[in-house]
Amino acid sequence: MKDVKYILRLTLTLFLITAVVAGLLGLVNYLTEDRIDELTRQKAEAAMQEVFPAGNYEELPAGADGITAAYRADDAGYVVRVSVNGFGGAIDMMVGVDNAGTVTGVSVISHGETASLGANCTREDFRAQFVGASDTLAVSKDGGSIDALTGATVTSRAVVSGVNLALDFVKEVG
Amino acid sequence: MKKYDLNLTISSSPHAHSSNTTRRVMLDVCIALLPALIAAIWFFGWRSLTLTLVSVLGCVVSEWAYRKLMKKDSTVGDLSAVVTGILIAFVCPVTLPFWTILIADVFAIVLVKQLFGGIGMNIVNPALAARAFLFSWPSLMSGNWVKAGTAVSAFSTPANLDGLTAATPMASLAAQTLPAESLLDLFLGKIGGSLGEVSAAALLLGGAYLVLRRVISLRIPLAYLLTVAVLTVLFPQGGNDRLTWMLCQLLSGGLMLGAIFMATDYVTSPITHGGQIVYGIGCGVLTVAFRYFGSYPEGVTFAILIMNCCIGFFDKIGVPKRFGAVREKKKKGGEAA
Amino acid sequence: MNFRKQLKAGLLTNNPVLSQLLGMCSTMAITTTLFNGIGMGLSVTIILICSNVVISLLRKVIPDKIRIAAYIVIIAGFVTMVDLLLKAYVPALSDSLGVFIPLIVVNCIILGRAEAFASKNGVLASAVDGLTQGIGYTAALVVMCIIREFLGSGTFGKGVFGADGIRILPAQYPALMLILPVGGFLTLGCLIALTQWINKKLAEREAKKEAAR
Repeated sequence: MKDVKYILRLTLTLFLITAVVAGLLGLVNYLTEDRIDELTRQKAEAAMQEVFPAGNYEELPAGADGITAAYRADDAGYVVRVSVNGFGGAIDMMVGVDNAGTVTGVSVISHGETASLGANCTREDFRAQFVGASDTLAVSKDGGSIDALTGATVTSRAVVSGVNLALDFVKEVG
Repeated sequence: MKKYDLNLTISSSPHAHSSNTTRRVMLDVCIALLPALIAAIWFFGWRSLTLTLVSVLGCVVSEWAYRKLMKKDSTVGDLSAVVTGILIAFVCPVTLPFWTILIADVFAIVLVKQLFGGIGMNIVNPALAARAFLFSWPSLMSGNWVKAGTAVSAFSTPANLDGLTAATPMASLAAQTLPAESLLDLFLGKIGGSLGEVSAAALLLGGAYLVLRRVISLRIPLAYLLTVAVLTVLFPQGGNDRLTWMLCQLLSGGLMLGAIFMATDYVTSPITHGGQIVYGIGCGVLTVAFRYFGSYPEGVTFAILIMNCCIGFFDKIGVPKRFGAVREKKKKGGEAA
Repeated sequence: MNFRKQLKAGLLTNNPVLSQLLGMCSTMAITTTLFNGIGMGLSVTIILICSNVVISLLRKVIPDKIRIAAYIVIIAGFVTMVDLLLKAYVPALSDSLGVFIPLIVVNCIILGRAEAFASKNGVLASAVDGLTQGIGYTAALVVMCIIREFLGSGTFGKGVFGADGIRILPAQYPALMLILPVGGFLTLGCLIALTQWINKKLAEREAKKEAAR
């Protein structure tokens, strides 16, 4: 009998602690959810506006590997959201492509790259290299036209492969 | 400190005395490095000499200053800092700015060598650790390989080298193609690369001197080079001719310098003969692995550094039997047997 | 409990990072800019105080056998709350620290203090312990950040004083290694040596004082 009582006490204490913590978490989540969603949406919106300015984005069914979302922007072009493997995990990025299949902009939404090395992939001068490209790209080390970031060849290759994915996707759709 | 005290009993006379001192050994190493230095001056101009001298000065001054600051006996006289200085310069491109090599000198002497207790106590080879640290400036280290025969004047720090730079044989090999240079050029050192690494002929000459003077034995370099040779002849890349591929691998990059002068560093290599052979083989396997699969074209630095960290294990291999001692039988099934 | 004594312990003699060698993962990973260091330090301090207080309050209620599970649940709760709050109100910090905020759950400093201190001491003392250990952690991170940012990027206060901080060294000089994990190990090694040296000096001085008495 004593054993059963003890086990019950263990179970109940842990249950109570967990329940209280879960309740509090629910509360905090309820309080912050809208704000976080709003911030995420704003960020995605800003990224879309940056890579391909348009008034209306209509969601398309996402296709191949790595493409997480795709939008038709005002019948003038596409915004493709791609996720590629970088040096420190997934790099989430947006690529704008117009109807002719030319890149109009690249924006990195989130990444886990090394600070001051791979993290430089968000820099304007690196991303600007992609604008205007329409053929399959490569970094200069691999015989292409994109100058890799100093000390971050893996990151540069990942971003390049992401842009290539987006270009392929648009070719298929458009 | 106690841990390192050797329990040596000094018996009564007569004593066999050897004139072999650290200074004598280090002086021999310096002499053995001279042919490579002359080759470097021949191929890359007088800046090779100034860069080496600056590096030596940097090392000696850091060693002297650290010992002075910490109120310890000066060890500058044993010349080991001079050797480190020369080796650091030898693994750099001739165009490296002077400030960069001075930082590498301070890093090697203070952080790698002195903080662990000075000569004899360091875990890894200071010059190689400095080389690894120099990857801090990738554009300075691997962006400016000048062609052999470009005479860089003594005190200039050339910035704009368009038209003078060339892909090194190592870069070609990393791309799985044979270098454009002939095998003879590779052997003599008429190639782009770090200033003391290029001439296999000069390095072998120095190595032969060290072996004749009995400063180093052939075990480590031979095990190292043979392993690389066997692996590259067995697994050539890019469909190239086996033999040519193997010879190019042996004569390119820092392999000769590493095998003869760095892997054989007394402090950071095993003592036992068996251990030395295993250590050499390990260096060879890792070098080929880094060259084939790594993201940098060259792997000698990392291979030797990693093996440096493991010598504690290798020293247990092939411990000679004490005279008259009976080898302890391996116990099976505990004491009861 | 003597606050000054605890503060000295947190900062030097029993510093969570430099003497106890806890929380190494975050110490290596995020100490590349001052902004990261301060943000991470404050987050951990807040969580540490909260978890210490709650665990100290519950120390007589929680049976011994399930204490680790209970502690982890409580710590994970606080960490997730801080994570959500940062995401909602300080998104810049949340972006820059990324996965290392959720990973505070497994930061040994917090579980370590819960087990070693809060489960045995009163609420006030535990709160003070959380605060002083948190300050010690933050101080260690900030020192690492300043050194690594200065030598590795050549700047001071990235993220705190503008996005790029104050440039001290021209861009071609800083050593890339220092902001890579290698640099974390090098800096930490040197700092630990320095702390041990200071601690030794402090102990010697104390011994002298004792002897003089």
